[in-house]
Amino acid sequence: MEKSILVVDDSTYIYEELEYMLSDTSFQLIGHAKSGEDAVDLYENLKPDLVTMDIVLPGMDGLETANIIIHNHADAKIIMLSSLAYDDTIEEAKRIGACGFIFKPIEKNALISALEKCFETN
Amino acid sequence: MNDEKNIKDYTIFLDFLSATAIDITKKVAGLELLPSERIPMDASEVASFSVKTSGDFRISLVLCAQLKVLQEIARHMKRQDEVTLGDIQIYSGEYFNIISGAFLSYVNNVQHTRTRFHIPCFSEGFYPAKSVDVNNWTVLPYKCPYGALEFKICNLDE
Repeated sequence: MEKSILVVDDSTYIYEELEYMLSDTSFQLIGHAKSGEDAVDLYENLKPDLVTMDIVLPGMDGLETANIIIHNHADAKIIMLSSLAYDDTIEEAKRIGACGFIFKPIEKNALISALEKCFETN
Repeated sequence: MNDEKNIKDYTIFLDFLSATAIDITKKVAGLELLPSERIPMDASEVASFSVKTSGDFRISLVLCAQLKVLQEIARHMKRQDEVTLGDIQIYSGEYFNIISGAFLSYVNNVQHTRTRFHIPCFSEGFYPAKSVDVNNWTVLPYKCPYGALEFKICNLDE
């Protein structure tokens, strides 16, 4: 069954790269938000199965955005996707309730594994 | 526990920056970077991306490259033969963003510091401008089949 993904990243490249890597999978990109504020609005409208969330965003950062979405939607599945592998950031993401962390540059196998793992756990 | 959070000597991290730049350039842009002597570049043929960090580790980190190199990076990332200057800003900017994040993550985790950075700024020509005293900058020069590229780093607390 197809799973829908909302991409939150100010980079066009990341959206395109995810689209390319997931083109032969059951994961389908249904939206692209380039800021945290847009992400909160788009989540309400699209209700994706999962969100990929960058951390460094214009305005509100990805951790704060994830916190708001999870606060509003307890069943939201959010994977942080970032080049920032700070130990405290990863801990904060877990504390907020993110279901995974993918590091840039993205590797296809790691991406798909992380996405599938998010749906295996509640 | 190390109470000295104000890192003065960022040069201890240069080897990691170099290795990271070479690795990510290969993975993301499909280019082999080779450390080299500095290659003279004309301001009209180069562009730069820069980030400044805040927090415990305050540096300015810069990518300065010939446009031919940035163009090839953008072409590879966009998977298209034709790219515009706007594409170079987007794709090469993200390339530098990934390198910056990887480098600063390493510094933060090794030093147990809190350092943040913003989205890279793009500028045509050199950054800093050639009129600025660059004696306190460390330069890591490279070459690739498409031209020259440099990473430059400066401690903002000096």
